[in-house]
Amino acid sequence: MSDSQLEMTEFHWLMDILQTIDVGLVVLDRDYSIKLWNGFMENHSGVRPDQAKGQNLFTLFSEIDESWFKKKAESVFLLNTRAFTISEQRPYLFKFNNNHPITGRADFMYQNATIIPLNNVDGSTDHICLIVYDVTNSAMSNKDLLGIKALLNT
Amino acid sequence: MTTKVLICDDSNMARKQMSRALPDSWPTEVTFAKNGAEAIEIIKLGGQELMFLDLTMPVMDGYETLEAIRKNDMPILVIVVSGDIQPEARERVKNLGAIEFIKKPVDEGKILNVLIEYGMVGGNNE
Amino acid sequence: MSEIIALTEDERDCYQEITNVAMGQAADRLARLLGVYVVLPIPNVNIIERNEFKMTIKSLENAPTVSAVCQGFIGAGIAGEALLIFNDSSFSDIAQLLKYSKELNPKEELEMLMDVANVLNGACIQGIGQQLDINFSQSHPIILGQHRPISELLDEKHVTWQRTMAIEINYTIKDHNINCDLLLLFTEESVIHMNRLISFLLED
Repeated sequence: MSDSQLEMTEFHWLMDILQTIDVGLVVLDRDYSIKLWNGFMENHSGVRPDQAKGQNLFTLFSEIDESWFKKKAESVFLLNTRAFTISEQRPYLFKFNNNHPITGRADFMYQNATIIPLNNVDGSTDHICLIVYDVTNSAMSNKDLLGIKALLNT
Repeated sequence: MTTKVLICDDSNMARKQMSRALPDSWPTEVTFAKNGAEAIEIIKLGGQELMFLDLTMPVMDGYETLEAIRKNDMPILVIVVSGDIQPEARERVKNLGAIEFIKKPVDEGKILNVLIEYGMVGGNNE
Repeated sequence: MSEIIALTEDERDCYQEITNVAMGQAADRLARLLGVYVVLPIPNVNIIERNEFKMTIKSLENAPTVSAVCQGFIGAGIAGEALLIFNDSSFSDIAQLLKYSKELNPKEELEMLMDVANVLNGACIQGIGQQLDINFSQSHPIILGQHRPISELLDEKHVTWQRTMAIEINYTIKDHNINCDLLLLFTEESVIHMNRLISFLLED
């Protein structure tokens, strides 16, 4: 395989990985308009990429607290640093159903999220990537543990 | 000349899919059976030339049907159409006299190729 | 809103046939992994109420204890879980086929359970997805329990659903004492979507 063929193959691999990974990936521009929407986001939200692209994040998902989210995201745009949110702060960013709808005990998917800056060639940041993790299992175990601890202390 | 074709499958949908997958240009008279026992009764009446046979069925499954056909020396060609695609399943049905094994869901192109191969349908020049 | 889901005979037949094809693909992979022949049954498709769920699970296995793994899947408005229930008496035969040591420790048992679950769950979910033209997301598997009575697998207090479509597949392996059940469970909402999706397959 030539170098350019290899690069194309690698590119296809990466695209496949983005689509299949059990993690949500969303790219947003300065106006919080959606630029990329991967398979996880599509499957859990029921919103297809062609329906999501170009839409404002907060219009499409009213469950996201706009001012809260913007405070985190603006620092990423401005300071070029990452921001993290954990399910203890807010159980979820997107209101998705629990990944185990039959045997699961949670009513929704608990989420951690990371916001990373995507840099231009000149180092400025016009886009950010939102990474969404399903942490329902550990959140539920934590809850159980706290319950047991409380019982032991009474 | 019309060919008498028997489609044997316990699933109504599978029977429909199978009959739809037959080439449009091929003149056939299609009869359906819901299990092997029904198929054998129909074959006994005579005239059937080709059977598409499922394997997993109640009452009498595909293997038993093939055995019955062989035992009674029935003059019919059998193509097995099955979701059970394990190597052993293919081998077993070939040993029992099936001329071909086609996996489900059926593919029209594959059916056409098999029919051409066995001279039941003409090739491209038709 | 609460449209009660039901299946017509044609719809049930359609799910049975779709499952039949998907489980055939799964069995083929397991057969190649273990070098055996997997006996394929006719799958059972039913709508079950939440209070019937325990009964359904209980009727699957008469073993005193079982181990179970479940894995969620979602895509195109269809969500559910694949639940693999493993008869504990199957472990020694599986170990032999997968060439694990004779004396199994719990870690190895977990490894085997996951190996088999990956093959069966994955192939079945993908197989159904392929036929409906859906690329399902699959979550990480969860152990529901190891070596537990089957009735303890599900925490009934926390059940949030009313009805589910359950597809039961009982896999046995020729010449070996191996028995496991794969239960595909779909949420009510999903069944409404799926009935719409399969309607084109049922057209005359």
